[in-house]
Amino acid sequence: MPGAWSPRTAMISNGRPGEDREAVVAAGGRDPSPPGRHLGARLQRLVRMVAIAGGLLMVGVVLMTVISVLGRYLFSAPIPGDYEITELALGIAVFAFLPYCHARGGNIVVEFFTGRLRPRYQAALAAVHSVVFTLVAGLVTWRLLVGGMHKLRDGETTLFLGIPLHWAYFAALPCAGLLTAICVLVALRYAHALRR
Amino acid sequence: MTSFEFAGLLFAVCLVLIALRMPVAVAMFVVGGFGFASLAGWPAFLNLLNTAPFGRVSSYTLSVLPLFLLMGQLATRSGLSRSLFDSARACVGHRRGGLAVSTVFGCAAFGSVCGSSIATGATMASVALPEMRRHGYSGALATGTLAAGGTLGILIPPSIILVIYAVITEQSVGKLFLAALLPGIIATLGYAVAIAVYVRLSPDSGPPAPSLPFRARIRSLAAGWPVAAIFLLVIGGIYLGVFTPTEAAAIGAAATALLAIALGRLSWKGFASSVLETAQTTAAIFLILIGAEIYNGFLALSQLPVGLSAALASSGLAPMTIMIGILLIYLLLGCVMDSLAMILLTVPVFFPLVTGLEFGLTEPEIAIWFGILTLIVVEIGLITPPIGLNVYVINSLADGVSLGESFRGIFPFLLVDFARVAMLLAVPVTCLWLPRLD
Repeated sequence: MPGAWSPRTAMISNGRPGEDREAVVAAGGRDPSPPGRHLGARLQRLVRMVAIAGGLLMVGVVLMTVISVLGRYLFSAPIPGDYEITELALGIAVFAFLPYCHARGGNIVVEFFTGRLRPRYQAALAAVHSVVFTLVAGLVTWRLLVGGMHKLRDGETTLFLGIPLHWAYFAALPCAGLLTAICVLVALRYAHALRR
Repeated sequence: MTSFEFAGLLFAVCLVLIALRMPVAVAMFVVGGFGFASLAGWPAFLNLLNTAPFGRVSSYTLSVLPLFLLMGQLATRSGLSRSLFDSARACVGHRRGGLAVSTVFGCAAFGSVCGSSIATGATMASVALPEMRRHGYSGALATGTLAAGGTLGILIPPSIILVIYAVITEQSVGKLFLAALLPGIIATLGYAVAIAVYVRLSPDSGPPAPSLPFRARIRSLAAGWPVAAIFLLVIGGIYLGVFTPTEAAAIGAAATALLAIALGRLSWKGFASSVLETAQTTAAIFLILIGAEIYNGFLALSQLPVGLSAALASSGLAPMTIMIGILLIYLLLGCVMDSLAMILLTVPVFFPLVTGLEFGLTEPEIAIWFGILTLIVVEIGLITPPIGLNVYVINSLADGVSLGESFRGIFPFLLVDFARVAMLLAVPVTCLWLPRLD
């Protein structure tokens, strides 16, 4: 029947980033109720700022690469070893993005049949998953610290520029720590919801 | 229990955890970690964790991902989809079903600066849905076209899935991009044919739209050129070896931002939200990559991939039978699973198997061919029920169109998709021709 339907347009391209996602989220296997909405305003701001810092790092890499490529072809003067900066900077940026993604419920889940379970079972699953996620994040954070200490002890550096690798590890560490902290808060929240 | 059975069992456990809605990354990490520790001991696992997560996210080949994602986000925010749709409409919009064909062409063009399919479909929907609605298109045709057209986003380079395939199989990103180009064009034309047949059988679902005046058509057509220029810069640059894919992605992101600023469509606020959206998608993908790194460490220890290919090699099955079997498994898994998880869980097992088979092609050629086939099957998984993600997303943007209608609308596109897989299986040169020229 032509004329019986109408498009909802403004959602994707014009809405605020928080809102335009909802429609996509509800449909597309991403978390329909982002865990982050339970976090305090101050913590949310911190998570966002860390993500923005990572974003600045990423934009910095874009600018550096453009300058380096232009320099290479126009003045045969590239930025030496720029690829080492690229991979380390973007590695740190990814860690800075992780807490934001988790707080926004952006991690990929598959909604196969769980959507039809009773709310209580859904809550129980969410609680179990949040505890497991906490353990994983904690483990990664701990080993990142150990790995960074090893790099410091061995004085390992990148091949060309000689950037000490432990710098990058220790820059990623607080981000992983923030992710773990958020995991703990989310897990507590789910556990609390389950008891009621 | 042999280590094969153990690996098979843990694979099943991983699938169950994912089906129970555990985040995909966490499921792969936990299962892989448990398997690794059981086979090599906990100290070895803790040792692996010292370097594996950061090592994974700080690899130059993967640096291309956030940059391409940023480029796609900037293209989305700056409303490039509007000019692309208008350009395509200037050519074919006045024919029966022409707006749907314009949508497919628009999606293809947008896919040439954006590497993800949901973003492509959803962005195009914000422009094309109101137009098709206004001109009396049926909900089924409109949503079906957009859901299918969106899949061109991952087929036409740049492609996020193809980058990930390149990284786990250690193939050249540039060659895979080239290989995807011709199948991408064939897909676009195939979808256009599907629409033409559809509106011939059901003329009411896509009535002709009024023709624009000649000058307006020329003007709209010209508005598409900057996107074409960016695409040629990025893909041409990779092709000619002027810069690496990572550099190309950075340059593409910068060029897209400049274009958006020049068109007056990128505010600071828009820029900030592009960066944050990129942050979220990047984190989601890389968390899965970290989980997959651990899982693959376990898989390698269990020697399942090697054992499986040895078993199949001695089974006497024809190589083509095995290839079709793998693709069927992908089609089934794709119906119920996230595409990224599917690729990361299975390609490490299937890849050594496939490259060891005899197809009359060299090993790198099989790698490319299998990559493109996998990509197309993944793309089909995005539009098949019950978990056709693209169909859900587009359907949620169209009020008053039922999910059933949308899935009905996708049917003709699925038919041409299957025909395309068959063609690529029978004539591998479709995707190998361009990389061979290189």
